[in-house]
Amino acid sequence: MSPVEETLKRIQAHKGVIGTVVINAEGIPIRTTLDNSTSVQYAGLLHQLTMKARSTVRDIDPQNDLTFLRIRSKKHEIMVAPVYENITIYSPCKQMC
Amino acid sequence: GCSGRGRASSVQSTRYGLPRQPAAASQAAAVRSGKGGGLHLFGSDSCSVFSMPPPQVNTERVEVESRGVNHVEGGWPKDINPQEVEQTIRFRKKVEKDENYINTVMHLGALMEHCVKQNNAINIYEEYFGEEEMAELAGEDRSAPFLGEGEKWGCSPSGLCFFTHPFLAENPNKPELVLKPSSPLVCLEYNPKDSHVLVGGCYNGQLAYWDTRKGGLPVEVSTVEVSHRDPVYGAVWLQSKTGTECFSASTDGQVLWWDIRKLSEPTETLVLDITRKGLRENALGAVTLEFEPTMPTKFMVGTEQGIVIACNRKAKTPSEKITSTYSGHHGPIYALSRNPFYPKVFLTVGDWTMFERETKREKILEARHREMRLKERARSEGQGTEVEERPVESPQEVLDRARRDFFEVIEAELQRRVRAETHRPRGEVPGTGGTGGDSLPWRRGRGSASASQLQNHAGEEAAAKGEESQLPRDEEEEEDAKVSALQLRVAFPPPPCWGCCSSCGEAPGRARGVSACVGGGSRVPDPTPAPSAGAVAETGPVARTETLALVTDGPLPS
Repeated sequence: MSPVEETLKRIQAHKGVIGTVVINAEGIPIRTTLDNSTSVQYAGLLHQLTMKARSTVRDIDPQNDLTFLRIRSKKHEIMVAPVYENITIYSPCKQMC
Repeated sequence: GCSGRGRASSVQSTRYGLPRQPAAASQAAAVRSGKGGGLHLFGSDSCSVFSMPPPQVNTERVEVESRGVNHVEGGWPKDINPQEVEQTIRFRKKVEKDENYINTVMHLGALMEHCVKQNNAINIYEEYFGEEEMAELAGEDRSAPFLGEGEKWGCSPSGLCFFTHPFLAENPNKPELVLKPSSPLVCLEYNPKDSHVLVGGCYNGQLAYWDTRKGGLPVEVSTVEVSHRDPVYGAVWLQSKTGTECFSASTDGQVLWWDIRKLSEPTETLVLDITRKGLRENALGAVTLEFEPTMPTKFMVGTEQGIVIACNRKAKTPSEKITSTYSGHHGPIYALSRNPFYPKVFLTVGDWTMFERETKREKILEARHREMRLKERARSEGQGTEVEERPVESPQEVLDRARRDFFEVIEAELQRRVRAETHRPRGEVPGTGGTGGDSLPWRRGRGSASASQLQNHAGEEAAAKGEESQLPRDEEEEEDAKVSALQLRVAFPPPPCWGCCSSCGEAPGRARGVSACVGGGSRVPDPTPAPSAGAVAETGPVARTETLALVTDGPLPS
């Protein structure tokens, strides 16, 4: 198995992780464990939010940069690890109680 | 042509060229241009055809329209049709082969995994303290009353107050003097030679000494660098010719000797390392300190690991300074005290048990109190039984009584769950300090503490009397006990009832101090047989009617 697959499998295997989506810069889900429409929806919505968050951080301090984004909601938590060259990984994950 | 530039449009139109086609982008909005303006010679409508051809006269119009787009699927390169599964799969596979992709995913995967594990470890947003109210901060937890010579006594919460003897002074509610240390005091001792001088150990490890004639601020404070690194839990005066020597111990494992005239550095140090190597890392934290003036070179330290260390100050090498250790407690030793009459015997209290020991032998008496919290026990000054009419007693009874008289357990679990400590007074009146910061002087009821006393109080506890495991005592000690039993007079009220305090050794009639009688029901059957006849004593009036409740969860063993 390629290391990429192993990594993704490992993340997915953790307790509470609902799904994992790897998205490239154009918004195409490259690898996803969710269904296509959900992945595409996440891709489109989260990309903009991540960009906004990143620009916020950098506006406040130009030396700074966004490393991770967590969106906690009542039901879930979405965790976004952005990379500004090409890929981001979005991982919707259930909130632990 | 100046107008029209303000409009945001993604399409530029040159003056003479046709507007460019808007690119098919995955943007959310598609725009078309259209706008009126510019120099209209003939009308505002670009569609109107007039004499002049539009390119020559009119500016290009840009028509703008805002539209939303439902982004169903986007981003695919031009040649790939999103609907076709094969094409998309092929594209994806191609992307996955990219090395950059692989590296990035590995990196992000690690990052993501870290956060997922964080989530799994603990829910940091849980409502942890929603139901509890904020507890009020009571001052320093332990307030330690110490009696000095004469009438005054002081107790130290985070600051320090002095109270005068309530029976002698007019106003017991107002402190006579407030001492202000730089850091909260943990322990405090009067100088036995000079009743105006006190030394106190601070929470930050320093030692400070006061002269009450000079006011509330310390006369001198030891320097921080050479002081302890943990709160100073024990500070005791030494017998010396100058009357200015004291020593202190703390949980950082050191015992330091000081001359209070020069608190800038200790005169001597000792590291409580029982492997006798003097290593600080191995040192045990000292919690209590015991020193008997009759044996000026030996002292004992009770540690928070449950071990009592007996030390000899005058040993030649540091490794010989620690003469012996006694273990047996499972928790910190809260109190340690020698029997003033039998200096070889000492008592340790900790973790719900209490041991009485010989310095050479182990546990003579072991009393187990399961859920009692013993804070301090004091030893009575007087011991033995009262003068009896009945001359003959069985040795066992004498033994029991004498043994009982050797110690008292002062339990302070007042009804309001105030934790208190009492200290055996060198003076006359023992005091109890509570966690609430209040302190209570006790007046002793007149009465003798014969063994029968234990049963006389209705339902009282003979708490410390678990005399199950008793090792036989020396012949010699037994003899002594008998002798002293007949000779001395008893002075104090029965023990382990709560808050009994030792007497001052005077005749019962003049004894002052208190016994707080436990009104609560006894759950421990008193193990000792009551000596019959003759051992009747009056229960004198108790000055304070506070009843201390015995807070136990389980029955105490007999």
